[in-house]
Order: sequence, then structure tokens, then C-alpha cells
Amino acid sequence: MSLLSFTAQPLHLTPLPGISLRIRARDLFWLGFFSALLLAVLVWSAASGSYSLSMAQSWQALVSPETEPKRIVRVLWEFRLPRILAAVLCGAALAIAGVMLQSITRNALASPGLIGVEAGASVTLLICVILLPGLIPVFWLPVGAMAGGFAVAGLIWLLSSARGYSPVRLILVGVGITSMLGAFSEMLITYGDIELVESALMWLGGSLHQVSWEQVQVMTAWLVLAGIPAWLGFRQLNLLRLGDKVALSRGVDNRKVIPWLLLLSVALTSAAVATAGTLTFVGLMAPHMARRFCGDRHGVLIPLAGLMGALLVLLGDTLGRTLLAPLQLPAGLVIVLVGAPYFIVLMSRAR
Amino acid sequence: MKRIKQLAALTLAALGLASAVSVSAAEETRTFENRFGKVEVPVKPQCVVSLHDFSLTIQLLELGVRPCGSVARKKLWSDPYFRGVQHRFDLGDTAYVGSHKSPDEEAIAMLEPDLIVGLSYHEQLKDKLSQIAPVVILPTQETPVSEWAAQLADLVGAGDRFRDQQKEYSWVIEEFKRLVPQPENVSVTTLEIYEDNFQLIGRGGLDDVIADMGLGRPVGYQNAKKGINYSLERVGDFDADIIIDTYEPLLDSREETEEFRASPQWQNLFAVKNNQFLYFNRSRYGDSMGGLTGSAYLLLSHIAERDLKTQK
Repeated sequence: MSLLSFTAQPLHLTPLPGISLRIRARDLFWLGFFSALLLAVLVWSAASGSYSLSMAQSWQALVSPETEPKRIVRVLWEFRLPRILAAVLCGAALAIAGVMLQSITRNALASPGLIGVEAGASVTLLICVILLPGLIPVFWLPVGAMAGGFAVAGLIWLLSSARGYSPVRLILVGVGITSMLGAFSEMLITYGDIELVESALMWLGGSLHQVSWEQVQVMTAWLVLAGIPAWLGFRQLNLLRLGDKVALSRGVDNRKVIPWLLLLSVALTSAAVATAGTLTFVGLMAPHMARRFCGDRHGVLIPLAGLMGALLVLLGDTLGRTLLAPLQLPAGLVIVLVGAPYFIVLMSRAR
Repeated sequence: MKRIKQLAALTLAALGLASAVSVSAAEETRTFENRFGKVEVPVKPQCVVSLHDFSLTIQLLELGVRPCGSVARKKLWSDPYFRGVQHRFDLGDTAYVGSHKSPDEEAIAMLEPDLIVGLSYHEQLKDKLSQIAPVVILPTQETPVSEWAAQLADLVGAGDRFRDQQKEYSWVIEEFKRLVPQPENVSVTTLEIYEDNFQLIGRGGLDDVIADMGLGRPVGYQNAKKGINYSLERVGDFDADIIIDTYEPLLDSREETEEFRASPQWQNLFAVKNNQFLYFNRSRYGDSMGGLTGSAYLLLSHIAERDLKTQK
């Protein structure tokens, strides 16, 4: 038996009681490979920054902080680690949300930006910062942005499903509302107080500069609460991609399942946008990159896309804070600059 | 020989005592309080990091304190530019620590500062930066330059120098009022014209100076919202006896706005027709006491020490 035919043989796993998963050895290999790659980038990121730390020092400060000088421990634990973990969590959340939306809408161009969550969160933040400064304390701005994201996604769902759900209608309503909110954002940016606009733009550019441990904890909770149920819905997503009728014939009623799946993807996107700002491209790019390795089998696609998203944002943020240090480039900007050409090459090679 | 040994021991003891005194002065702390709260700060800070170049860095240098680190402006491949600072002061010992909206905490931590000073909008960074050194936020948006500059002088123990600055500034203001007994009858508009819009703004403490001199403002200016962009068509609403625009040499703003200054809307303004349009370098003076005094001298010369036409 050749190695190739062996790696294509499905293995039967039971990761949770009652959940049976058929996974190929090749899928396990890619999951292991990208997990190891993420770990390697994580270690490199922890040792990189304006404050020079060797790999050994970083490792020592990580595993036995009491033996290292306080200043080094502080740089690693208070400045670098929250940022690194937030990048990983936000990237994974956006990628998983992207996979779900692309499957629900059966559209390869769908991304978290499409259902208005990012636009809603951005406009809410711009209103709070530019039009009504001081309305809510700075520390509550992410929560306000999250509420705005949920509200706009809810509105899009109501408008697109009032006469029965249709993926095309969801996309068209989403594009329309997102464009409208985009125009409103542009107006606020153009005519707003320049100082206030600058503050808002830094966040909108997708920056992890001010992430705290509290935000990392909140983001972890959201990823667990919405990410695990999203993964558990992989069978429904597999069937939904085949069309509503096929899904219904196998017991998956799109009218009941899609609102829940949509809610999970909105929760993941809102939490990520509230933590790191708009990193739109990740939700589009990571699922497609993951599909190159495992196809459309969502049981593997969801975790693999999560790993890809985590890698993209972590690389974007680490390069953003080290390339021209001490100048800090927003992660969102670097991801698009570096990721887009790679994505274009990848897609041009796709069959 | 014994004498030499005694002398050496005495010298060493004296040196030790001196360094101990110096260390203890640096480590001695006190409580500083302003509207942003109480902060335990060193009595004599040795390494101060400034989170704004155009105001705090300049004011620190004017007080004779060389910050060990400061934020600056930077284009991707160019050297950092300390706005309003580097044409006046040598910044060889001052490290660049990122931009004023997102300073690099690690670059600041590398300097091991004992005090970090920031503007009102840096309050959101206070918790994080406080892990490096005490962070004092100064009310730069809420109070005039002279008020927060006094707090900064108190922080770094440069009260004497600040009082000298204040004295000089007060003299220029008094001299202006002596020469222009009814300053409220002279109206002034401060603006910044860009390629397709303008803002009502006077940098380098110019608006503070105009207020301190008691100069008037046109009604359109008084009722207008500041800090937002206006269409160039609206420039007539802000016509005044004197119009002050500023240009930024680094941005070629003189050349870029030349076409607008040739337009009929601009040429028909009272100030332009009567050759009372002033065009200053935007980065010549920062928001500092030196900036106030410099701007005050400019207005003294351009308004009080010449014949002026007014609309009243």
C-alpha cells in the first residue's frame, strides 16, 4: 500500500462522547503540521520585539518567571503574551466565522464582513468616538462595538429572511447595508474632529496594541462558547453546502439550523472585532487556504481554518510591531499587504 | 603614606556619600495630583519619556529637561521627525519610541524611565504603561498651555525656568495691550487650508495667544464648530480683519493650496484685499510656553507694530 493511499484512508475517532468522526491520516498530518507551525511562530513572536530578548530568555521568563529580572518578565507577560494570544484567538474566531458564512451562503466570496458585523461594530465605534465622545467610557468601547455588530447582523437577518431564507438575499441585503454603513463611516471620518478620527482609525485598522489580559480572557470565553458549537455543527454544514433540498432529505432543516449557525458566526466575529478591530481579510482568506489542504469536509476544515486564521493574524501583528519598530503597523494592514498577494497566487493555481 | 591612605579613604567615603545622596534623591518620591488622579512620582526624575513631540517634548526641552525618549512622526522609510522640536533642540540623546497614537511600550521599557508624561487622550494607555514607570496625564485638551506647562514644570522640578517663561510671555501680552488699547475691535480668524477643505485651528498656542491678547473673532468663527473640515466655499463666512493660515514645509502645503489663494473667494476677503493675511510656518512653534511667546511676538509685530485697517 502506497503512502498516499494510506493517508487517504479514513480513521474513526470519537473526540467527544456521542460524536463520531471519520478523519483521514492526511488531515491529521496537516492539523499537526499547522499546529506545530503555529507553536513555532508563537515562540518566535514571544522572542521578537523592541525589547531585545533571546529565545532562551523568553522561554525562561515564560516557564520560570521568578528566576528572570522583573523587567523582562513584565515585557513578556504584560506586553507580548496578551497581544500574541489575542492575535491567535481573534484570527481563529474570524476564520471559523468565515468558514460558516461561506457554507451557509454557499458563496466563496462570503466573509464576516458580508453580514455587516464589522460594519456595524465600526460605525458604532466611530459614533462613540467622533460624534459622541465621552458617551461611554473608553474601556467599554469594545462592548459597544460588539452590541453594534450584533444589532446590524440582526437587522440584515430580519430583512433577508422576512419572506423566507435565501442565501442570495442574505448576501445582497448584507452587501447593501454594509455599503450604506461604509458610506456613513466615510462621512464620519471625513468630517469628524481630526484628533478623534485618528484614534478611531488606529482601532479600525485592526490593531492589537492595547489588548489586555481581561480582553484575552473574554475572547477565550467567546471562542469556546461559540467555536466549539460551531465545530459540532460540521455535519449540518457539510449537508448545507449540497443545497437545502439535499440537507432537508437528510434531516437538516435550513430554517432552524441557519439562524443558529449565523448567530455563532456573528458572536465569533463580534468578539474578534471588539478585541482587535477590523481584520476583514482573515475571514475570507483563511477558509480558502485551509480548503487547499482538506477540501470541504467541515470536521477538519473548521479547525484547520482556525489554525490558518491564527497564523495569519499572529504573523501580521508580529511583523507589524517588529518590521519598522518602534513604529507600530496595524496587524490588519500587514495581513492585507502580505496575505493578499499570497492569496491571489494560491487562488490562481486552484482548479 | 598613612596620610595618603587617610585622604584616599576620606575621598572614597565622600564619593560614596555623594552617590548615595544622588541615588536617594532619584529614588525619593512624592504624590503628584491633577484632574487625572494621584500618581506617586520621583522627586527628581532622571529619565522622562514624552508621549507627544509637538507639546510635551518641546516644553520639557524649554524647561531644560532632555527627555530620554519621545514619540515622533515617521513615514515608512524615513527617519523619525520630532515635529516642532528638531530645528530648535539637539535630540541626539532622545530615543524614538513610536507614534503618539500607539507608542511602543517595549521601546519605552528599554529606556528604564522613571516618569512617563502623556496628553489627555493617553489616559487609555495609562494602566499598561504604569507597569514601566509612573504615568502622569496632563490636561492638554482641557486647560490652556500655561496651566498644564506649570504642572509639567512642577513634575520635573523646573519651576524657576517656568516662571521666567511666564514672565516673558506676560510682558509681550501687556506690551500688545498697551499698543492696541481696544484689541476686541480687531477680528482674527485662524485657519489651515488644505487641498479641498480647511479647518479653524491655530497651532503653536496661537489661539491661546489671541485669547490672552483680547483680540476679537468674527461672528461666523464664534458660532462655528472647531476641529472639523469645512468646504473651501465657506471661507467667506470667516472673513476677518486679519486671517492667519499656516503651512507645513514638509507637506508642500504652500504649493498645494496656491490655486485656492488665487481664487476670487479668497481674493475678495477683507484681510486679503488689505494685505492683512499672515502665513506662518505651522511647525515653527509647538504647543508650549516658548510657542506662546513666539506666537505672541509674531502678533505683536504683525498687528500692533504696524498700521492696520479694521472693518469696524
